Formats: sequence, structure tokens, C-alpha cells
Amino acid sequence: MNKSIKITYFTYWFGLVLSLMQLSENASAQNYTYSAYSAFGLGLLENNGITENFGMGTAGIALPSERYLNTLNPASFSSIDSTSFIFEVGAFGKYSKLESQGTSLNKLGASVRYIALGFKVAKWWGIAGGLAPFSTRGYTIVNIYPTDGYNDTYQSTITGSGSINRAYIGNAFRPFKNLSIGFNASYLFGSLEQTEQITYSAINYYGMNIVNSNHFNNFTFDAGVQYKATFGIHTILAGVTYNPSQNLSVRTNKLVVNSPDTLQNDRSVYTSFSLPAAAGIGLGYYWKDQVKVFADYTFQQWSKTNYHYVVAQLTDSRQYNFGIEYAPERRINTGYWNAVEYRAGFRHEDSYLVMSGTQIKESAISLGLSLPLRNQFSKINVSAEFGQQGTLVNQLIKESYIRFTIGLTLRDRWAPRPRYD
Amino acid sequence: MFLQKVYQPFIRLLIILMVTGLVNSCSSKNQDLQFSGGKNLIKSDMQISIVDTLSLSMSTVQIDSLVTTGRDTLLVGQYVDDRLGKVEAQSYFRVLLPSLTADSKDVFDSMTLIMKPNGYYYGDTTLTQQLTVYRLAEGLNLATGEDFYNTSSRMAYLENPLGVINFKPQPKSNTKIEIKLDQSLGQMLFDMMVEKNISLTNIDNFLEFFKGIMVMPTGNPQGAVVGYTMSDSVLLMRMYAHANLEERVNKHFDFTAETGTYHFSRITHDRTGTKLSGLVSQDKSVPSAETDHEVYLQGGTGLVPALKIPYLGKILELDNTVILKAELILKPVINTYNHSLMPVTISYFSSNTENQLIRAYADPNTGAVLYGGLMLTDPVYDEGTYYRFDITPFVKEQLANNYYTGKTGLMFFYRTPTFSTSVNRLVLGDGNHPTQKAMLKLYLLHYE
Repeated sequence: MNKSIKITYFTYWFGLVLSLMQLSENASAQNYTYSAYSAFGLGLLENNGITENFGMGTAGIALPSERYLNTLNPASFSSIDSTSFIFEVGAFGKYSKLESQGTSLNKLGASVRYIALGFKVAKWWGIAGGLAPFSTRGYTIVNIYPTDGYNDTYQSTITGSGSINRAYIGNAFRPFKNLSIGFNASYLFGSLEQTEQITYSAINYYGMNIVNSNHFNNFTFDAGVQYKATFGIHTILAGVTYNPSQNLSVRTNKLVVNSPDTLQNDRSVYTSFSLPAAAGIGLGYYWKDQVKVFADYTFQQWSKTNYHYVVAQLTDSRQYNFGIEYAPERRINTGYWNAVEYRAGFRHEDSYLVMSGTQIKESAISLGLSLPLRNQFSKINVSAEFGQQGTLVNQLIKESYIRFTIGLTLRDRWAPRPRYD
Repeated sequence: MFLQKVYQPFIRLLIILMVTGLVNSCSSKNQDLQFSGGKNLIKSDMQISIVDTLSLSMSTVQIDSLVTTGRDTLLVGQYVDDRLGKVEAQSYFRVLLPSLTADSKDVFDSMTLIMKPNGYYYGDTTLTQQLTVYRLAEGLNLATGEDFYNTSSRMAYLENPLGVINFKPQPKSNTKIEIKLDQSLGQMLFDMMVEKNISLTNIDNFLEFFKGIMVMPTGNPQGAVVGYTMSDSVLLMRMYAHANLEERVNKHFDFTAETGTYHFSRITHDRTGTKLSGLVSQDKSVPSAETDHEVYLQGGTGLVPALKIPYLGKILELDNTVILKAELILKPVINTYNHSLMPVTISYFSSNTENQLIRAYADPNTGAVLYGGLMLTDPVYDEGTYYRFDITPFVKEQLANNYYTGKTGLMFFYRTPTFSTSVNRLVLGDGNHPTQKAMLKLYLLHYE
């Protein structure tokens, strides 16, 4: 067995293990999200990207999948090198400091983030597929309440958990030179839960809890277009993405348990949750193959969805992403650090959540590196985002975080054969 | 190797994931409690409240008969209680033949009854007490499956007492008491033993001839009831004799008590002149309103408090509400008790409209039978002394079918000391007692 086949087997094996970990992690309701904001809507929406994107402000709607799978736009998949396949896998580690009303809390969380695989079917047709979180929920709210009429207190612990995952297959076609059109068919699945548990020392043997769980699933579609024009050492890129408004079917379960009795078990109430229409536009510029600059704007029309919470309203979200990538040589011959890709970026989001009249916003700056492995096609990618979400006004929560992502891009030949370019 | 280069960072990543996962799961409990973020944003769907205003209907019930067959304690004594009248305890038992016999050269001296207190007492032990011993005229016989009862069992005895003692009981001291018995009876038994009369060689003939002994209190009715150990080593009739050989040799022959079935304590009461004088059968009860908002518990005589919760069904009218716990508080009336003589635990049973017991209740998690315990928060100033009962399983059972009949109540018995071999008295306040109110605390959970 030659090395590259070994790597291939290793990759599949590893991908399987990581997917299982991801699934079991969802089942055990532990993820890296820790935010009361994730109680509303579909939880905290995750940026659809990979480590390379996260290193440059999650920008890249206009970016083709030349050296890695750019999952921000399905149109990019037609740019996969025709002789190789690309496998991407990544994991998050997040360290947060949450502040609210003069108190603070530090949290450390980690999770497998994504796996994706892409390859070229024909010179004009690329396919990619993968698994990544769509949204996550996680929080623990502990409150002490007085017992009516007695000099006594009890504790309520409300825990939010779960995630909605997205499994997708994207096809991208290149009908004309420089123009690419892509479509993703996605299956969204997963559940978001909220459990409230009462602890009361006077009640020593009857456990009480309410579990509200919502199971989501449905197929969704999204589309994208990319255009690229080269003028000597200058390349101009442009891209758009579009998600039509679609419905997620929701199965709601409510379980009220006063151990050992089940007081209420409202099973399987079916409703639907409408996902808003969303559109994104991105521009890019390459100077030679060395300096790449991207800017994106994404809009999600949450105000058209019809959800009401006592303390929260949903509004249109807007996201702005800027990123730059610098690659000195792209060859290892003149020294390892010349083959490394360096990235930096910034992003800002006016999120879909308005709490107590205040829109929740998030900003982050990011740094990233791609470290080539010896075959020069595969890379270990790292990124770090330094961000802040929310605010202290109106008794809200401010979260400051550092989020590390580590990813592996494996590129290998379909079959060793001579190349004629 | 190339492969290792790929492996290593990922092995490290895995380790990091596992470690951070662990850190995350075990470090944050206390911090969560202190962190205010989200407390105002995410609403609790559950509230706990306590309802303690449900009225309680209480009364005192007389249990017809308590089995007292074969207990390891014999009670003897009497006392008079200002609320409950007179209590008297008599003990019935029989003795067996000695293992040795006297021979013709021996000379009879005397005969005594030896008894040993076992530490139990109730009443005033500082007063001189009189006990009188009688010989039974009727055999202590029971058909299979029958029992001796506290009040209804009685045996005829010969009118002439065998012996009398006046003494101040020292129930905690371990000192035996010895009562001198009738000299002529002793002489007769001795002579028969020497003659090898069949009534003193064959046990059946002996029990036909000497049917047994009864010890009862006489004299001043104000005193104490004392427990004596039912054991052949410390409850016996002793015959003293001597032999005149070269020198005098003292001998004694022990007619030891028969342990097992054929002994019992008869516990009677005389409630003439008290508010309970009309209480004669178990299906009747005296409401607490007629007894100064007090209910009574007295072991041995079978006086027990009964409780009903007429409006418990109101809880069923509350939507999305569940009873988490039902706790009953019963408080002893001040100046009616002495902490050292209070029962430590009180058991409870459900009961029907005829005041017949239905069943006891167990903790659903441990399976252990539930009973009430004595709580002493301030023994010095005598405040906060009460009994606390977890009656959750009973309350849940009564409301189980979303329908409440109100017919089933609760009755309370001593658990320690044993109800049938103790005569402790406890005076408890009812729900309307001016200071020592009985109270039912219902812990309710409302959910949305």
C-alpha cells in the first residue's frame, strides 16, 4: 500500500470517528455554546465555513474552492482541482467570559465542527458534501426563588441544549469560462431542548422537571453564483448566494415529570418553523496568487418570520465580513514559512435577536494560518477569533471570547497519473 | 514518518477535546449559580408554594383490644392521669419445676418471688408502690391461634394473696425485687417435693396444681407502671431450704418463669369522670372539640388520635398542580410531657370510617415504612417540640383517581416504645389548639 492510499484510509476512518463523536455529543447535549441568547429562535446560528474562512472574518462568498473547500458558496465547488479530492475536518475550542449585572462567568467548551469532502466529476462539474452545525443552543440558568409564605427557598435550574445539524450535498457547474453556478441540497436535522429542574431540600425524594424538546428536520435548498475575471496579475471575483424562505418541520414534546410519576407528556405536536429568505453578496480581488482580499455582506429576513417571545423579538440580520490572505511563495522550496498561508479578517453581525429592545450584535477579529504538510497539498489550518457578543445595557449579557479552530485539509490524487496542463 | 505527522496533531486535538469537555462539565456548577446573565431573560415554568391552611378534623379513638401475648416485657403498676383517668397493669405468668429436688434431710425455710425491672417505666417512681401476688385459680391456656389481649383477657385467682411488697421502684437501677410469699404454700410445695408427689415431678400435673401467678398493683393508685424482664433467669419463684449435716448447708430451688407464649400483661383503664368516659367501642370517637382541642395517645390501653382531612379534595381543583410533599406536624401540649418519657417515633396507618386500620405507608424510593419522629429544636425552653410525619404517599393515594372521598383517615400509634407494652401518654393539640396547632403542610408545584 502506498502512502497516499494509507492517508486515504486514515482519512475515512478518522472522518467516521469524528462524525460519531459529533453525533454523540449532540445526543449528550454538550456543546461549546453557552449563551442565554441561544434560548430564542433556532438558537445561535452558526457560520457556514471552514477553518480557512474563519481565519479571515468568515469572508469568501466570491472565493473559489481552489485549495480547500469553500463551503460559503456552493458555486465554488466547480473550482476543485480536477485530479484531486479534498477532505476537510475541523474542531472548535472556545473560551468565553460572560458578564451581566456585575457578575461574570468563564466557560470553556469544545466540539467537532465540520467534515466535508469534495471532488471533481468533470472539468465543468464539482461535487462536495459534508456535515456541520446549523445552529446550537446551550445555557444554564440557576435561580433561587422564595417558597410562598415560608422562610424557605428552592432552586430552579434551566438548561438549554442541543443543536440543529446540516448535512448537505452541493453541485457546481461551469457553463461558461469564469462563471460558476452551484446548488446545495441540505437536510437539516436535530433537536433543541430546554429542561427545568427544581431542587428543594425540603423535598428529599421527589424529583421534578419539565423537558421541552423540539425536533427539527427538513430538506432545504440554496444556490450561489461565482464569477472570476483575470487581467494579468489582477483577478476580480464576485459571488452571490441565495436561500429562499423555507419551512422546517418541528415535532414538539413536552414532558412534565414528578419522579416517579409522569404528569404530562404531550408527544409529537407537529408545527413548522419558517427559515427566512437570505441573500449574500461577496467581492474579491487577487494580486497574483499571493494576496487575496474578500468582502461579504449577508442579509437574512427574520422580520418576515412570525415569532413572538416575551423578552425577545426577531428582526432582519445583517452580517459584514472582511478578510485577507497572504501567501509568500506557495512553495516549500525556499523555506517552510514561505509556504504558509497567513490570514486576517474582521466580521460584524447585527443579529436577528432583539432583547428588551436592544439588538444583539457581534464583532470579531480573526487570524489564521495554513501549515502545509509534506506533500504540500494537505494542510493543517488554525484560526483564532477574538470576539464580543451582546451588551451590558438593559441587564443583558456581554460575552467576550477567543475561539480557536483547528482543521485539516487533506488533498490527494484520485489516481496517480501524469498531469498535462 | 509522514503518517505520524498527520496523526500526532489529531491525537493531541482529541486529548484537548476530552480534557476541555471534562473541565467544562465539572467546573461550572457554582459559577452558574452566581452568574446573573439570562436570569431575567429565561422564564421559569415551575413554582413551588406551601399550603398549610387545610382544616384538620381530629378525634380520639379507643382501640378495642391489643394483643399482649408473649411479649418480653411484663408491666405491673398503676397511675392516675388528670385527663385520661386511671391505668392499671397486671402481669400473668406461670412457673416451671426446679431442676433439683429436696431430699428428706432438708428443712424448708421460705419462698419468694424475684422480679427484675427492665428499665421501662411511666409515671411517678418517687412514690411508694404496693404490689400483691396472687395464685391463679384458672390455667393460662390458649387454643391454637388465640391470643391474650390487653383488657379482655382475665384469669380467676385465689382470693388470699401469696405476698405483698411496699417499695419505691428503681426501674433504671437493675436491682431485683424479692417478694416474700406465703409460708404455708412454700411448706406444702416443699413437702410434696420431698415426697416426690407426682404434682411436683410431672410438669403437666404441676401446672394443673399450681396454675400460675398474677402480680397486680394495690394500695395508692397514684404511682408508676414499671416493666419487668420476662426471662427465666430473672423472673422466678425461689424456695429456700437448708440441710443439717456436720454444718448447715443452704440450698435453694428455683421455679423459673415459663417464657414463650403463656404470659401477658393485662392493662385496664378507668376513665370515669374524664371527658373520654363515653368512649367504649372502636367505631366511636371523641372529637377534639370536646376535649379542649386535644387528642390523646396512650399505649397499652389503646387510646389513639385519629385524623381526617375533609377538604383535601380542593387540591384537585387546581390546574397543573402536583403535591410534592405532604408533611404533618403534631405538637404536644405544653406542661403535659417530660422529654425523657416521650415516644421517640410514632407510626401511622390509614383507617376507614369504622376506625379499622387499613395499611401503613412506605417511602417509594427506599421501601422503608414511614413514621413520624420527635423533633426537639429547643429542649431547654421547651419550644419547638413536635412530631413530623411524611404522609405524602397517603395523600397521593387519596387523590390518585382525581376524586376524593374523604372517608379514609389516619390513626397514630407509638412505634418506640412498643405500643402494647407501654403506657406512655401523649397529649397533642388539634388544628384549632390555641398554641400547639396541628398542621398539614402541602408542598405544591405549579407548572406551565
